Amino acid sequence: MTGGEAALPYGPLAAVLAGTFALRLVGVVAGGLLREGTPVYRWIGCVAFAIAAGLMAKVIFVPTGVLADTPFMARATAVAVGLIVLWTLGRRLLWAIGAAVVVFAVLGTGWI
Amino acid sequence: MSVDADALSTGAAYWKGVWFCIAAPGWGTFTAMLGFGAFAAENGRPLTEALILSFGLWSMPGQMAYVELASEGVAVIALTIAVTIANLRMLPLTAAVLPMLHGAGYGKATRVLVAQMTSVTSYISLVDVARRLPDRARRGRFYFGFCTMTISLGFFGTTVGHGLAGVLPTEGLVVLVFVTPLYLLMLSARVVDHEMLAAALFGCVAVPAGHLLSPDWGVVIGGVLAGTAAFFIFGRAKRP
Repeated sequence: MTGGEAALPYGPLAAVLAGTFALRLVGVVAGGLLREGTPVYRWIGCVAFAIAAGLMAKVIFVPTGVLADTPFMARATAVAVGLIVLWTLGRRLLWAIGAAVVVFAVLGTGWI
Repeated sequence: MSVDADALSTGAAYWKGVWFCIAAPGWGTFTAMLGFGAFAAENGRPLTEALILSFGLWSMPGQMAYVELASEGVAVIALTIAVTIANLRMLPLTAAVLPMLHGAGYGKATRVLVAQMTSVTSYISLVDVARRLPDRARRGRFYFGFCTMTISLGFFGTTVGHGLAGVLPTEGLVVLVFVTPLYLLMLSARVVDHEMLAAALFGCVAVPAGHLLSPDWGVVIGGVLAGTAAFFIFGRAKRP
């Protein structure tokens, strides 16, 4: 089903868009008051970075959708291999991602 | 893809941002939005609505929450609160991005536009290149190029996913879906600042754990605890 002919729910759409836009506006105001290198900025940077990296970890280790059907050990091993390659081979991103994807393809999907 | 600050003109920095996006994270966004487009179609949401959500919210958890709850006929106020909570992380992300672009020549309207275009993907990528792009004008153009390309691929993915709903080979998508979080996790692990690296590592434990304990608030609470712990434990040496 594509629902191509359904009427748009303008009220709910406007309400949810306004809610998230308000969050971003508060972020603009707060960001305008902050300067890089100050303790408050560094704290907010740490919180934002923790949330960003943590969300990626959540997607990998507590997934929903198609990833949830793959073995946890396949995902965990792939990430571990990627990190080992990253930290031992001069922080080369493509090598790390390539190694992790190959491991995941073998253990998680049996493609290779 | 490397970013050589000395070799970049301000204009070239925009295109460097575009290419930096195309090199990997943009296609991850494409794949994620492809999944969202298919999800929206399967829940009976029109393509126009899916595209409005992609552009207006530009944050996957909120988009998914909207489609799921709106399809169940949840009241508007409950829907708004649920989606806003799901997107709460956009507040600290935006507040963290804008100071990195001070001096880029952005006016008020551009700052709001940049905030609207900011995502987890763009923030992590900005942190990764910021040290190599100390010139604010170039950094600002780079970020703008990166964000416009990410959003373009996101739109493309939403449209394709909506059109291909029901016929997408699920097994074939698994590796593609895995690449985006993997790429961003590796970018996070590449950061050289001990304080930020600790924040990422703590976040990788606290955020998933928080989500399991409380799907609504866990991500933000886990992130605040992890970031605060990293700041106080590893940020001491930097304090004046």
